[in-house]
Order: sequence, then structure tokens, then C-alpha cells
Amino acid sequence: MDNPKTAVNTLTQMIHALQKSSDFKTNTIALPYQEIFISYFITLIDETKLQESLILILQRRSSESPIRSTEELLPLIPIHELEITDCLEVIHQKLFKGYVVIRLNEDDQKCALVHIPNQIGFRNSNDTENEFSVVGPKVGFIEDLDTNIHLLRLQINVPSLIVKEMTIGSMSHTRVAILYIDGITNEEIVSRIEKRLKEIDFDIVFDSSQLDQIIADNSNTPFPLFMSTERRDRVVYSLISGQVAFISDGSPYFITGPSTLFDFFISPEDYYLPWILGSFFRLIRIFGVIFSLFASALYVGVMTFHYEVVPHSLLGPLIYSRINVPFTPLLEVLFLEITIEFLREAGARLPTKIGQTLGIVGGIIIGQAAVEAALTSNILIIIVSLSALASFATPIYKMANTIRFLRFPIIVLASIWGGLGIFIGVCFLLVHITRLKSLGFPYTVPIYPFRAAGFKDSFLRLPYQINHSRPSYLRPKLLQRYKPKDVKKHKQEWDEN
Amino acid sequence: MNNEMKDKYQLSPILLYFLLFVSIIDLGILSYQKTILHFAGYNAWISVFITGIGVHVIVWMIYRILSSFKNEAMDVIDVNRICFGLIIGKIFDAMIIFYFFYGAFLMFRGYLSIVQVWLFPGMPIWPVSLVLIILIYYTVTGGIRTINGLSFWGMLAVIACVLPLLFMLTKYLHPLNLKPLLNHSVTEIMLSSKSMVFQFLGVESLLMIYPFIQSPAKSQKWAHFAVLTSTALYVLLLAITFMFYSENELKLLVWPTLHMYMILHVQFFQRLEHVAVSILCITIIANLSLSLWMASRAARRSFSIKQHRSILVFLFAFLLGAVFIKDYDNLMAFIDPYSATGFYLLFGYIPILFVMMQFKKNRNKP
Repeated sequence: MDNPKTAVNTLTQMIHALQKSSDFKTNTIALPYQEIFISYFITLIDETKLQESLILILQRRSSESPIRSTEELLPLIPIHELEITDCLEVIHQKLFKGYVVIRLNEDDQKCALVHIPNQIGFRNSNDTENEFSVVGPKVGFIEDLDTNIHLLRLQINVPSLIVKEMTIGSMSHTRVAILYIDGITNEEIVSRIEKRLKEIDFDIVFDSSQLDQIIADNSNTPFPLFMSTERRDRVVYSLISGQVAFISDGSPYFITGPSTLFDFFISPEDYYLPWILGSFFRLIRIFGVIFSLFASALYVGVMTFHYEVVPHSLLGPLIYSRINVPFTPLLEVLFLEITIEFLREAGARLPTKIGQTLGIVGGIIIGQAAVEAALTSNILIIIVSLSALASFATPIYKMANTIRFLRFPIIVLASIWGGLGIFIGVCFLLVHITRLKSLGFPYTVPIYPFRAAGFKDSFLRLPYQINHSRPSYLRPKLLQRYKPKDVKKHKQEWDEN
Repeated sequence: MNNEMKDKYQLSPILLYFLLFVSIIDLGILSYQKTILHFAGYNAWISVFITGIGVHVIVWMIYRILSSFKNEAMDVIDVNRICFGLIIGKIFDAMIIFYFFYGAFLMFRGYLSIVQVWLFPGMPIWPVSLVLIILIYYTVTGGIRTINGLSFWGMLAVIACVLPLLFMLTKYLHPLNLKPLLNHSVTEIMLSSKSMVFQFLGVESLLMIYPFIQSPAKSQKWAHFAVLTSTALYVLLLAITFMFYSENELKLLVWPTLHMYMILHVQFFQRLEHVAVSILCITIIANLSLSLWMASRAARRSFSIKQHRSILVFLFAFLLGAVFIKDYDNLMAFIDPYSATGFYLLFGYIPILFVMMQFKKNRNKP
């Protein structure tokens, strides 16, 4: 397709070229002393607003005397997104963002641009849909950039919250906003992310997550290197801890970074619950992930090679449950794991109500029938469904997918070399995550490089009076977040004040 | 001497601890009880102490050697150049490269034989070698930071392997086994100490990683701490083993640590030695990768061979050698020259370097 910009040299030619689309209108407003030409995409602008705030005003003003120059329009129109330009490229881009072009003469190069966008097509509800929490606010983002930034500004009321905007995409000209807090966030992170985003050459940006993949340090990894979230509290939390967030227009997902592996096991809910419960749930999540990675592999390894590690009392039920199963443990596990993957994939794509029905059909009927048909053992069904459940205990869906994917190579390794195979897989994983970097920062902080202070808010969520500083690996300019309440150290006698 | 490392490749002092700990503690932990028993019998725990102290002195010497010239961090290649000149220095470099490579190879094959004996008796060697080699290649190409990261996990793996023995065996122990406390001559105890040096091989890796440490002066305490903890680990495990087995029984076993595991069981797991052998995989890979990294680094520094090439050559040699050596008994013949070289490297070569560097330093001063 020819780029329309290359073929035109004047504004008139451009408007002429644009008129090929039926939603592009050029109207002539006849006023007592003159004619004014306005052009716009009718699908992108708000027509009532156009009538009220532009045409009516123009009519009223020009009934007195003619408008001589475009500059005279400026004080008239009560819309502040208004500019006068003769740069074709700017006009072209703005037309597609819901601007109206006003010309005083038909072959004028200079024109006024007035922003009258319509807001149809955006959902009104901004509940968090995919990152749910029981306690705490449920404010999420929507597909409109300005609304999203508005939502953030509502919570961070300081001038040091900086929004830097740029456009990415040769065809979509999508606005992308980078947000950080000045005086807290290390500038190196900001400049690094800005540089990488600026280097992007891409045609259409649908979602922030595309950008996050393009700018990732290592694109050959199943691990998400940036956090993506639709929750406001999560973005605010990353901003105040000294991370950078960015979002593209049209995406409800903010990308925050640099992230570490353990960020993906943090749910905002941990901060709304008492610290003991918050820490407990975090540990449960991490345990869930480990369980989900290794449970089926362990079953394969034990049933194929290491019968002797199972005590007698347990070996009986194990053998009895798969006495009629004709397959090797590997095949049996793969069969069930792939069934679960089918269920997950189908359930995710189907409308909610059908999805629920499918869950019942898949989970209960197929499972039950598979055991009765002696295709799998009972115990395996328990293991596989538990590990499926556990893999979704991670609060970030991206990470859950990674975990689900990683089990397969480990299962295969376990079927070849049993326990040794599992640990070869573990070695590969450990080396891989140690090699990963997120925006140049190590991915496995605080374990490696080891930082004792990092444990206060990674595996555990310690109380607020202890947990008062920002993570040091981000090298924030201001380490202290707030002044903690004094902890009373002196021991009082009981029952006496 | 182009030794100025970029800051981002450097390691903070505490990280040195993991590297050293993992390179000291390796497969030997499964079988050292038997080897040091040979001379000093059940007094061997004294020998471990003595060796530990000796190794502390060596670590101190290494630090003195490498920090002789204050403003530049050196490694052993530079030291060879200063002490022996270009040609003899290169001969020493070559020997050191071969020493690191050979040590790594023995560890590799040794681990595979343990896997063959304990997990899969009929297992063909080459497929598992191939996978491990890919893993090692992936680790080494990640650089010293990746190796260091894996060493951290390797250290946790060692702890996970040894802690159950320290705590869960208590009801099977016979403390009276340790008596009489002293019934061997000093010579016998010293001979045992000499054979114990083999278990401490790995501290010499300081000679290569020194320039990668951020503030070397601060790291010395961590190096000593690594030697201290590994000595403590060796002594504790040795004491447990001696209390568990009688002397004559222990002489018959090849891997006493693994045999002790056989008696342990938890609610839904028994025969924990299967788990222990598998978990040690992490430690072994970290240890191997460090040795190979040092060998290839030395090759690059001294002979300007690209690290990618040398590492591929080393790994190919691994594969050939692993298939060539038939079994564990076969391997033992290859271990003896290594352990002798290691002893003379630690207690011959390093003290000589130390003395020479003191002279050079004093000559430079006035």
C-alpha cells in the first residue's frame, strides 16, 4: 500500500486524497461575510460537541465581522487542545486522533486543529477482571490512555509523577506513555527504557505486551521479564518503589519494570492483609509453583525408575491404582497434562457461561471416565489436577503460563533419567534464570545477587514498620519510603502501665 | 597487563564465599571418610583440622601474592610472568590450564560413575554426558556471574544433602566409637592430613577469580570463612560417620555418606540417597563450570585463544574421555596423579610464588 503522505504536497491535495474514505467529511459553513471549511473524520469526532463548541461559536462571532486570519480563531474556541500549523505530517496524524481541521480558504496551507474526540467504544466499567482480589480496591485500567493516566494521577498527587509521551508504530501512531516518579526512580532505568522504546520500528501496536516483548533483554525465554498488570494499586506500588511503568494507548495493561522473578508472586492483597497472613499466602504461592513444576515429573520419575524411594505402605496404593493402566508413566502423564491444557485453552476462549459448563464436563466427567477406562490412575489424576490448580495460584497470568509450559521438558527429562533428569532440568532452569536480566538488572534478586534486606518484601511481607525502604537493587535515589513508627523496645511489666 | 575488569562483570565480596565453598566441597564429600581413614584411623578428625589450618595459611598466601602490587588486581598468569618470565611462565600457565581441565574432567566422570552405581547401573554414558555438556556450555558462556549464581544454589544443595545426616541420624550414633581420642602417631596423623588436602582442592581457584572481585581486601574474610565452614562441615560429617560405623565396617564402604542415607526415611520417602545423588548434580555442575571457566580464561589470557573455542575443545574432550573410561575403578587410576599435583600446587607452588613475590616486591620498593 502506498503511503498517502508521500503522494501529497499541499493540504488541499491531502484532503482530496482522504476523501476516498466515506467517513471523511469536508463541510463548507456559509457565514454572512465568508465561508469556512472544516474537515474531519466523522467516525472519530463528537458531532454534538462540534455543533456546540465550534459551529455555533463561529456563527455568532462572524455575524459581526469577518475572520481575517487563522490566529483569530484561537481565543474564540473554548477547547484548549487547539493549535495552528501548516505542517502536513502533524495535520495528518492529528486528523486520525479526532481533530478537526479548520481552513479559512479552500487552498490555505495554514489551518487550525481542534480536538473534539468522541469517547464511544470504551467500556465504562473499569473493574479488574483478570487480576482479582477479595480485599482492597478493584480499580483497573481501560483501553484509553488518558483515562488510565487520570486514574494514576488520582492516587499519586505529586508533581514529581512524570509522564513522557511518544508515538510508536508506523501505521498506528500509537501514543505510548512512560511514567516514573522524579527524584525516586533511578534515571538510568528511565533513559534505558526510553531508548529501547524509541528504537522500536513496528507497524501497529495492539497492546503494551507487544512492546514489552520487543524491548525485553532476552526474547528467547519463557519467563516474563516485565510485569504487566491491569490493577491500579500494583502500578502505583511499582512506581513508588522506584520502577518505571509504560502503557500504550488502547491497552488496559501497564508494563512495569525492571521486575524480578519474585515480583510475580506478589499480590497487592498481601499488603491489605495482616503481615502474617500476607507472608503465609506468599509462601503458599511459591510452594504451589514448585509443586506444580515438579509433581508430575516426580510421579514419572518414581514410577519409571525409583520404586524404592516410596515406602511400603504407600507403594501398595500406588501400584494398585495403576495396575490396569497399559501405558508407561510418561504417556499416562502426558495424556492427562495435555487434557488439562485443552481444558484451559478451551475454557479461556469460550464465553464465560459455556466455559463453566465445560469445566464440569472436562474436569469431572473426563477424569472419572479416564480412570474407569483404565487410561490413567486415580493418584495421577489427583496429582495432575492439584498441580494445575497450583500453577494458577500465581497472581500474574503470564507467570502461570510459564510454569505450565516448563513442566513438560521436566517431565520428559524425568522419564529419561528419573531423579537425575529432574535435577538436570532444575540446573537448566537455575542457570537460565540467573542469566536473565530485566532492563539490565538481575532477575533473581534477592537470592542472587544475595541481598538480605530484599527478603523483607519478597518471600515474606514483613510489617510496615520494618518494611519501610525501597528495594535497593533498583538503586533508587531515595531509599527510605516513609518514617516507620517507633518500635517499643523496652519491656514493660505485664498488667502495669 | 590488561586486567581492568568492567564493574558489571565484578562480584561483590560476599559472592566469593559461594564460589569457594562450592569449589572446595564436591564429590569428595561422599567418600572422603574412607580415604583419610587409611593412616590415622579414627583419629582422622584431627587431620581434618590440621589440613584446614594449612589451607587457611595458603589462602592468606594467595592474597599476599595477588595483592603484591597495590594498584592492579592480578591473577596467576600475571604472577607467572613476573616470577618466571615469558617462556617458563607460559609453561606454568599451560600446566595450570591442564590442571583445571583435568580436575573438572575427573569430577565429571566421577559423578557419572556414582550415578551409574547408585541410580542407573545399565545406563549408557554418552547421552547423559551430552546433556550435561550442553548444560555446562550454557553455564560457562553465561560468564562468572552465572557460574556464581549456580554456585549459590549448589551451596544450598550441599547443605540440603548434609543437614539431614547431621540431625536425623542421632538415634543410631555410638559416641564411644570416637574413643580412644589419641592412639596414632603424629606421622600417621600428618599423612592423613596430606590425603585430606585432596578434599580441599578448589581454593586455588582464587588464583584466577581474584581480579573479578570488587574490593579484594574485603573479600579475604569471606575466603577464610569458606575454608572455615567447609572444614567444619568435613569435621562434623566425619564425626557422624565415625559414630555411625565401626572402623572395620567403614573400611569396606566406598561412599560412606551415601550408605548412611540408606537408613533415613521420612513419611513418604525412603532411600534418600537417590535424592542426594540427584541434588548434588547442581553442585557438581557449578564446580565443573567454574573449573572450565578458569581453564578457558587462563587460555585466553596466556595464549589468546578465544574462550568459546577452548571451551568447546574441553567439552569435546569431556565427551571422549567419559566414554573412554569404563568404570569407577578405572577412574581411580586417573585420580591419584591429580591429587598429588593438587597437593604440590597448594603446598609447593604457592609458597614458592609467595617467597618470590616478596623478593620482587622488596626490590621494587626502594
